[in-house]
Amino acid sequence: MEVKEIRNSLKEIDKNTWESKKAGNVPIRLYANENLLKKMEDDVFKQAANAASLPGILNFSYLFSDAHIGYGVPVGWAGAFDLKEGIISPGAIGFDINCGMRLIKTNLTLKEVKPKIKELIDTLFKMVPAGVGSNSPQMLTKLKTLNKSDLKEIAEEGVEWTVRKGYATEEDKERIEEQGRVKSADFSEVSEEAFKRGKQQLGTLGSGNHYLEVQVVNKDFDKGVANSLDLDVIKEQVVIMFHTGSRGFGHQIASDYIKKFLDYSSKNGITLKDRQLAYAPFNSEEGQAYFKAMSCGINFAFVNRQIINYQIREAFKNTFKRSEKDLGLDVIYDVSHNTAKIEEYTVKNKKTNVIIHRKGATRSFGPGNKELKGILKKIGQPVIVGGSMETGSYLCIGTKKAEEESFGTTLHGSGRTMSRVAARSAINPDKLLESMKTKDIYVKANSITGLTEEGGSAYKDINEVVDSMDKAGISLKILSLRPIGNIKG
Amino acid sequence: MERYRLLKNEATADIAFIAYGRTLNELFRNITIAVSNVMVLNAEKGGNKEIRFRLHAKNLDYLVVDFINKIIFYKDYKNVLITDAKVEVDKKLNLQCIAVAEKLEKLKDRFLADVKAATLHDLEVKKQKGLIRCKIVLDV
Repeated sequence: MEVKEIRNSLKEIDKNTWESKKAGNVPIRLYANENLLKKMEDDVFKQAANAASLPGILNFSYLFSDAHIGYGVPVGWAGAFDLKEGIISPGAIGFDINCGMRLIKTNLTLKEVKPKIKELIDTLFKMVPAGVGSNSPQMLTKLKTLNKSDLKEIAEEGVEWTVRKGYATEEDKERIEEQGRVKSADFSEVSEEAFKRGKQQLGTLGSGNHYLEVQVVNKDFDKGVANSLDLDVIKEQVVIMFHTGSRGFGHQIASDYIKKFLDYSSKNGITLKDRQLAYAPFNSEEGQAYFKAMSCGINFAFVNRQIINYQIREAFKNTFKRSEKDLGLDVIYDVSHNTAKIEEYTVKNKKTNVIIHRKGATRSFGPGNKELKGILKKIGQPVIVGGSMETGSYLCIGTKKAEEESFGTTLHGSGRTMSRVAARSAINPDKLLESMKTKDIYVKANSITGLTEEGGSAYKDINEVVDSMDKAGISLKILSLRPIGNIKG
Repeated sequence: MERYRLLKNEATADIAFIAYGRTLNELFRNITIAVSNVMVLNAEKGGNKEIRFRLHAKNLDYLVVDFINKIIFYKDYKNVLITDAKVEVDKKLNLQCIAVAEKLEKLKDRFLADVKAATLHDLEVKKQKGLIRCKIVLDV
C-alpha cells in the first residue's frame, strides 16, 4: 500500500484516535488531533507501515501525537510482538537505550530559589558533566576507575547497585520504572567496545536533546493527583527535571546488534524494507542475545540518572545549606523512552506476555497496575513529558485505557519539527538568549550552537501534543511546569 | 571540489551530510573532516596525536558506517577527536587509516554537537559525474 493511500485511509474512530486500513500485518493507530496529523511527514506513515509488516506484530503499529521521522520506525512509536512469532529490532527501540526522564520534587518555592538560581545552575553545571566528551564527575572518584566487573554489576543490577553504593535510597527505587532494574540483563552479551565507551560516562548528561532543568509548578489540571505526589502543595513549588539515557554504552549496543541483525537477515534470506529496521526473531539465539545486551543498556541508563540524582541532591545542599530531608528532594518518578520489555496484556481476550517496543514513547500504566507501588497504585504511573527549554513541560498520569488500547503506552515529548542544521539557520542565537532572559530563564550551555538547535520553534507545540493524548484518554494532564534554569550539553 | 555539505532538510532530529571524493581514499578523508566539523567548529585546526586502525566490511555502505563509528568510539573511549585521516581502501574493502586526533579537552570551547552513531537511514554511496558521493545521517 502506498503512503498516500495509508494516510487517506485514516478514520477517526474515537476522540483523537485514528485507524488506517491494514498496512502490512496490522493497521496503524494514531493518537493525535487533526492538526498534528496533517502536519506529520509522509515518511512517518511509511515507517509505521514498515513496522506494521514485521512478523508477529499485534493489534496495531502505534503512533503518538509527538511522532516524527526516526531511523527504522518513527520517534513516538510503539509496537507489541508475540513472544513466539514476533521479533526484536534495535531500530524499533532506538540508539539511546532507555533514554528517559526523571522528575524530582523540592520543598522550595520560587521566592526561595530565584535569588540563588545562578549559583544553583552554575553548581549543577559543575557537578553534572554535560556536552561532548563529558566524563563522570571529578568528585565521584570511585566512578573514575570502574573496571569490567564493576560495569557488569551496574549493567545487571541497575539501581540496586546504586543503593548498595550509597547513591540511592530504597524509596528512590520505588519511584523508578521497573524499580530501576530489568532482570533480563546479561553483560556477557555486551561488546568490549560498549564497555570501553560506557565506563567513563556514568553520571553525565550528554548533549543533543539532553538537559537538566529547574522548573516551577505553573498550573494544575488535577489538584488531587498532584497533591498525592506532594506537588502543588506549596505556592510556586520548585521541581527538577532531567533527560538523559545510556550514553555511549547504549549507542554501541544498538550499533553492534544492527550489524549482527543485518548479517542474520542476509544469512536467513530476509528482505528488509529498511536496513535500519533489521531484526531477529525474539526467540532466536541472536534475538535473545540482543534482548540481554539491550537490558544492560536499560539498567546502565537507570544508574546514570540515579548518579545524576545524587549529584543534584549534593548541589542543592551546597547551595541552600539545608539538609536533604528539609529540602524534600524526593523522586516523583523516572520513566523510560527507548526500550523493549516483556509485559502482560489482554490480547484477543487472553492474558498474554508480549515484547513491547517503545521508541520515543513512555509507558502509561493506570491505577491498580501490579507494577506500581505505594500511592502510585491508587493514582496511576506518572508520565513525564519534556518540552523545549522555552515552552515548558508537563507531568501527566497513566490510564487504564492506555493499558487496554495502546499496550500501556503514550507520548514522550514535544517531537521535533526541523533538523538541527535547519534550526541553526532558522533560530538566531542572540534572539534566543534574549528571549530566555525575557522569560527569566537562566541558561548554562557548553555550546551555543547546541542551544540554538534546541530552541522552542524546532519543536511542535507541547500544549497541543499533550492535550491530544489527554483528550484521547491515554495519559491525563496533571501539572504544567515552566523552566527557570536550564543546563544543556 | 567541496569536501562535504550539511543537509538542512534531512534528519528531523539529527544531522545529515553529503561528502565527496574523486577516489574512495579521498571520500573517507572528507567523511572524517565532515564528522569532526559536525562536532567541533574548525576541527581541522587541531590534532597532534596519531591513531592507526584497520577495518573490513562486506559492502561500501557498511564500511562507511563502521568507519564513522570508529571515530565515535575513539571520542568516547580515548577522549580524542579524529580531525583528519589518511585512508587507503583496497578493492576487497579493506581499509587502513592513519588518523590525526586532538584531545577533546583542548577543543571544548569549539564544541557544536556530540555524534553518537552513524545510521543506515537513507545512506547512499554512489558515483556521479566522476565524483563519489556519500549521503549519511548521524545520530546526535
